[in-house]
Amino acid sequence: MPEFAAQRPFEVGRRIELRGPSSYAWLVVTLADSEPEALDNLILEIAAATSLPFRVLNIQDLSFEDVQAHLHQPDADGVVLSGFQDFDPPIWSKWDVNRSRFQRPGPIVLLLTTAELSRFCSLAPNLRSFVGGSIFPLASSGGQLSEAEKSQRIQDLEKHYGTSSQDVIQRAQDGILPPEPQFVEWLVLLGRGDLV
Amino acid sequence: MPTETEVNTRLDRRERFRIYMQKLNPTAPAQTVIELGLASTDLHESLYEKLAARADLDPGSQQLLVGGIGSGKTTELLLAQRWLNEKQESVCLFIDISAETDLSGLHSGAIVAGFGVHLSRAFRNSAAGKGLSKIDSSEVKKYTDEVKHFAFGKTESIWVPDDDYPEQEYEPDEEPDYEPDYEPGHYVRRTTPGKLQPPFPALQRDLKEITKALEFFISRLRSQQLDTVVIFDGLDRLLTPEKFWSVVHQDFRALRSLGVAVLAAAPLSVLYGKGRSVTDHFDRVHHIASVSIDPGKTAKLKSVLVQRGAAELALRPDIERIAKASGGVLRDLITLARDAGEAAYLDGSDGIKSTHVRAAAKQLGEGYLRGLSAGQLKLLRKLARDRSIDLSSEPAVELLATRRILEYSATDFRVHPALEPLIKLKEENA
Repeated sequence: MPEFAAQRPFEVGRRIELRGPSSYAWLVVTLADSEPEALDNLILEIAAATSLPFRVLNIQDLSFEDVQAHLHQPDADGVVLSGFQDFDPPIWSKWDVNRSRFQRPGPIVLLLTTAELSRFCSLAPNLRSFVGGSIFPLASSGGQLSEAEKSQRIQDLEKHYGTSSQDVIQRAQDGILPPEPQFVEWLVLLGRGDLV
Repeated sequence: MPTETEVNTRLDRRERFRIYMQKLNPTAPAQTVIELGLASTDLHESLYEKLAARADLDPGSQQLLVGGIGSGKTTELLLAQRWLNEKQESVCLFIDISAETDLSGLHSGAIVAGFGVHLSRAFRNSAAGKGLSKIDSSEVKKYTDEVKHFAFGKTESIWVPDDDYPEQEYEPDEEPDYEPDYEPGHYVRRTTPGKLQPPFPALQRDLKEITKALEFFISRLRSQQLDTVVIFDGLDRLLTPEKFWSVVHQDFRALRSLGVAVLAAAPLSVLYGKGRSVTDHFDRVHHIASVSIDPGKTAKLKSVLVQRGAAELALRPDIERIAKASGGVLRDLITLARDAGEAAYLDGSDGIKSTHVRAAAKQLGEGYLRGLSAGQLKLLRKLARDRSIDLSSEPAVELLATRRILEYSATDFRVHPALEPLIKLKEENA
């Protein structure tokens, strides 16, 4: 799906972070069918970027009312909804007309395949209006950077901030690293997400 | 490593963008937007005043507010409620019916049920519901219970005499040597479903029965010089006129007979084709058309953005670009401004540039493009080319309802400007 701008999970997380913790945000992230492991990476990196607790809610075996209850208990965290493979037109329609029931301060990310996205855009115009342009296919390899891409990104950050990765780790350990998302990303790239 | 000043500058930047994002949030509840003073009251020529004034002057009148998805209907309805509340001459109930019950299985009676629940609650909170005598309190409780049972159903124990059952073919060897001193029978639990729990068939008789309870509250309020107005939001999500009418026609008749003024959001499809017959049943139909994006006519849209702080990050030409790309759809306008800001932030820029607006518009357009059938694309291309469309066809009305086509006047229909370049591109690449 080349039409939408591909994003890395961390970039999706930065968007959510920028919108704030009570943004009532709706986003769609699309994954290729063959990349289920990318979900773990998505959650990890979004959580690192946002400092919001995030959970995955697989809705496949849940009723509409169950999903509603799960979204509101609690309603301030981030939720990634997955498991839309069995959604037929009546179910999409039910979700669409009852949009108000899902309204919550915490962000909602719908995890869809490209085929599910087409059905979503076609059958759920009210929800699509809420999502707007926030439809992001994860970049290749489920958004995970290759080793070469990671090295290049770390080099870019070192150059931009004029400091070494070791210094960033040291500052994080000393608790004096600024809370900017770029530093969080930097630590995650270095495999030191534990310091975030 | 950045100096403290540099870090502070960057944090300031983040804070600036954060404030911008909070003010330009297309999914924030409309009530919050109004309370924060961010709603533009004159975007649609102060339509809310016309709605509210008619409801105020004409008890029992029924008005529809028709507009496409994201056109700002909820905001206008909430502003109308605020206007009526400020006048203090009516009790104005605002009901998002989809928050009360499942709209997809909505049946006759559900709207009246939702109204009854809100009405009895409003009555108890009003001056008319305070300091009641013992007899009055008992009456209020009786009618409140009736409304609750109508809305949510009830379960009760009823006595069923054994005589009601057909006799068993059972012949004991011996007759019992005693006579029971009670009527033979037992209790069973009988549940009567409520109207807010679909799906159940339409029962007009039930509607008539509940109007007595509703009349009690309405007349008591009227004795305090308070009319009753109800605003129904969410009904516009029933996108086809058939669905909309099947849900509202019996309930709205009941409300009219009670002298309750009704304002309701309705889908755009009631204005076209066979949907037109629906509008005949209403005293007034107000249409929120897309706001003009023609050269020199974008001032209103730009003022919405400026009121929400867009000028903090965007220069005039980019605010103009955002206004034009929105097609004059309120939610798209806010979405584009937010997304352009987001793109600028991720890009490391201190403000919004034309590239960020273009990126945001493309993303929005892709969302409109996705899921379109070949037939729908053909219709859109024809409209883009000829500037004409036959709105008696259902596919055309559907494109209108889902905002791929925007209506600026009765004769001016266009493809959404964020979508139009993409369908042309798709045609070229085909």
